[in-house]
Amino acid sequence: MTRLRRLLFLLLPLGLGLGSAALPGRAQQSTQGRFAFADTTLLRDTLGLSFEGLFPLADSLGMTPDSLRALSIRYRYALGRLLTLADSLGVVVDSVGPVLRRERFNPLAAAGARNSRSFAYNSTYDIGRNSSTWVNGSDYSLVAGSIIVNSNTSIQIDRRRAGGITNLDQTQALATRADWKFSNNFSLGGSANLDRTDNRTRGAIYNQSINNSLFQVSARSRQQPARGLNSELNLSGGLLKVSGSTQEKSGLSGDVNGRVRYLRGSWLVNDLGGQLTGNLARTGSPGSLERSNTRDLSNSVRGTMGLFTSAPVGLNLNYNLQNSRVEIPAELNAIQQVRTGRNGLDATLRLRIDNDRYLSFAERLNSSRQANASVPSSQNTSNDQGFTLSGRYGIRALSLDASFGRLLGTSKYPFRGQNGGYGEDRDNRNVDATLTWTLSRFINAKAAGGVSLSRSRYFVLGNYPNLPVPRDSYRQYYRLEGRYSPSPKVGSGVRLEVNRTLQVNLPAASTAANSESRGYRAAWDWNYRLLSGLTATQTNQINADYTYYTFLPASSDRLSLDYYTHTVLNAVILPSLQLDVTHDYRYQPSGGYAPIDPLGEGPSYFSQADDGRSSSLKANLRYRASSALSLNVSPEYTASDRHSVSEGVVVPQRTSRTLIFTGGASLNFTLGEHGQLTGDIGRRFQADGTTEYQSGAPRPRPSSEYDFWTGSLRLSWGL
Amino acid sequence: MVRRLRGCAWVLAVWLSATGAFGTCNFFKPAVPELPNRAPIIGDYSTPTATLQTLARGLVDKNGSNGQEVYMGALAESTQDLRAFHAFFDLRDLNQRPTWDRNRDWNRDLESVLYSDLVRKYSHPYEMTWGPYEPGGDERSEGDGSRDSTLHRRYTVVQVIGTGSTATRSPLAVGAADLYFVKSAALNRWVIVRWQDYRAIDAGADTVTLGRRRLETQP
Repeated sequence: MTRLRRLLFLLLPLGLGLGSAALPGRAQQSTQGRFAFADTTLLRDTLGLSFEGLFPLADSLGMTPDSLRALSIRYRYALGRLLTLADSLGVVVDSVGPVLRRERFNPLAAAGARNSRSFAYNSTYDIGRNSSTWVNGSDYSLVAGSIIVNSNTSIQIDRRRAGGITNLDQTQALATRADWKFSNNFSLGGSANLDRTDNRTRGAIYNQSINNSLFQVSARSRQQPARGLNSELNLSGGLLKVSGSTQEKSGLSGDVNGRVRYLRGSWLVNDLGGQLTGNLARTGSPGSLERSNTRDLSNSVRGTMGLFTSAPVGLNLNYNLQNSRVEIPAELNAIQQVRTGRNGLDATLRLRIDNDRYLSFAERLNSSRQANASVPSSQNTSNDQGFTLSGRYGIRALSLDASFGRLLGTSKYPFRGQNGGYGEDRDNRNVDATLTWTLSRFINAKAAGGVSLSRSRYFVLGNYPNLPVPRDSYRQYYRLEGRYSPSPKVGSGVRLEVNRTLQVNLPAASTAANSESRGYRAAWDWNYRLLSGLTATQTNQINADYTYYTFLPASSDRLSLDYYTHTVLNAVILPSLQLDVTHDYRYQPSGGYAPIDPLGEGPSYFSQADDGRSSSLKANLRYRASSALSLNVSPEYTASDRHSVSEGVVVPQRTSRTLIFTGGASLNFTLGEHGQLTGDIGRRFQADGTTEYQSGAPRPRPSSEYDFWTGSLRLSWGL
Repeated sequence: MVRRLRGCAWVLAVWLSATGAFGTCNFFKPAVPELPNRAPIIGDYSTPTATLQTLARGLVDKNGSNGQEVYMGALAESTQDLRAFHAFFDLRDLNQRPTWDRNRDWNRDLESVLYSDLVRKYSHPYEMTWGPYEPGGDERSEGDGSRDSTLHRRYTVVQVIGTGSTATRSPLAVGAADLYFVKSAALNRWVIVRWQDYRAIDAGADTVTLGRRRLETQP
């Protein structure tokens, strides 16, 4: 964390001047009540983070709120700081972490103290019922004048117990580099990257051992040829050695990569990055004395261009070109080329008055090719193109969101059999609309609807007999929601949804599976703060799914019902003592239809075939003893019963009961001046009992009981 | 107010028209499938052998017409036939599907799941044949005037890929069965009460029986 903060301090100058423009990571606040349904009770401030404005920010950034929240927790940055960093670095929000990690090893970004030394040791131990993972790692950093040395070591040991046998996997990695910084814009250095992987699952055919060694010299440079134009160019080359279960390879490797960033006022920002990597080596199969010359080559170009991103009319363009060719040993000492590639272009034209009135048109083109798993020389290819038209129009208390899109794609699998394969043409169409109406401060309503159609058609490549069945899949839905929240103490909402799904196989021989499903959903939830420290929340749902087989007799039709209720009591007994009690109950009858007259074609009635009932009661008691220690206890009891209806008689089929008791502690201890122990550890006890019934007679199965340690502990030591 | 309502009506009309609720817009309408145009099968359950042939025709029909109905008609139903259908498995098939609870009863309801599963999974036309299986032992046929019968039969279900001279036959299920029939008093027809499925004595290790197909339909 401290290191990241230091790095932030170093990297901020890179983009402080860019912060005022509307860059890819910037959010634009909304003012309307579209987020009245946002459930902020889900947010927990456990890391000193708050998520104020999460939903409007996520909406503005075009990402889901849970993704944005996860990023905030992962990097332990408040939302505002995360956005500031994204603006500063000129990247989208979800790239902030990888960019920061990458820049840690960039000597040209290290402009701090002239002499410093740091060492950190981390040990993490994760334990579960049948597996454990132990990771030991160290980071060493030395800055002595213009000499910068970084070294990272990691050893990971995975143990998995299966069938009374313990299997062991090990991964070891050492990455060391030393750089001599000639100026703020140029450095020379050398690096050694050694890693070893051993998979030792007993009896498995996929066990393998791989040793990679890479020794390189490198040069890094940074340029600013003009105002607003920044670039980086890095070169590296050296010796390569791969020794493993699949191949032996030794030779030369080289890499050229660079990045150009051009910023012109507030109307143009362009990022372009590229990389070219190649190997020239002697390669052969393990155990073989024969070696062949192989040449591996991969190249990638990717970029983002934003034009007038903060103006009423703006354009955003993303593009990437990636290709790789790897030569591997094949049978009879031959060399086989494995080629993969991925190219894509996304362009979005946005017409925007403000955040509540805009129209976006997005076009995308993508193509990819990948080697067939069994025949690497054969290429599976996929080409997609499509567009999305989306917009929002808000006026006073009303806001309408709508989107319309179509995606056309073709995939080809030329080798699915001995003599050929098949191709698939896809056509996906969808339209969705949501109308949000803020009737008053206390009442919100929402109406949504959508239709989608997916078409799949197939054609033969070569000679292939088992062509998939051409089919259409159609879905439509309508949903109404309403919420009444007169005060922070109490609130209630209802939701109704109707959907219809059609599965259509086109050939007559396959139409027996054609079906039409109609689903009806109703839900009611409420929350009420009974006392200042006691809140009750309940959700009730009723679902019904009717499935009709278009070309089958009515006796094939099915009906599934689902009744579900979920109740939670949250109690804050003391500031340091909290209790949550959760109760769930679910009842799921299902069955088919039978004619009233067994021999006739007349009307039919619902004939229940089975039902399932399950309920669970769970409590979670948490006591925060100090800032370094909290304790928790969580008992849980689950009961489930299944009945079948055979010729009108309800008979039990299976009953099961489960009791789980978990107790543990969360730790955050400081050890001396430089150490810290963090994580969770607990003991879990579980007992299961099941009774099967045969012709109504109980046949108890042996009960099972087990207990085990679970958790993750991390010890950090820094100098 | 009237103007606003008119605007809303226009939006609603455009939405319903575009999504195919009315009008001629086909953009979101699924294609019309080919209609199954085979004539319905007339079930013949007059003898145990005829019942087996009807069952085979019902499976081959793949429910293009009333295949499932006549297939299920060959299996005993307790409210009509006073006996219920049960199927049993070869031990080797059971060993290959350890998730199946051996105490469970494979009944008529589960047999309909097998039929639907076969129809959905394998899109090509089928052929099903019954033949004698001497290693099964002596048979007790219907000819002696009794109301029950036991047959030992070898069965083969194949998927026919291609047409004419290029057609190839891919086996779906090959095996043998001890079949116990009763004659339903109410409906005067022969129905299968017990189907003991097993691999034929000359079957290879990778043979897939109908019993195995039954087990594969269950999680």
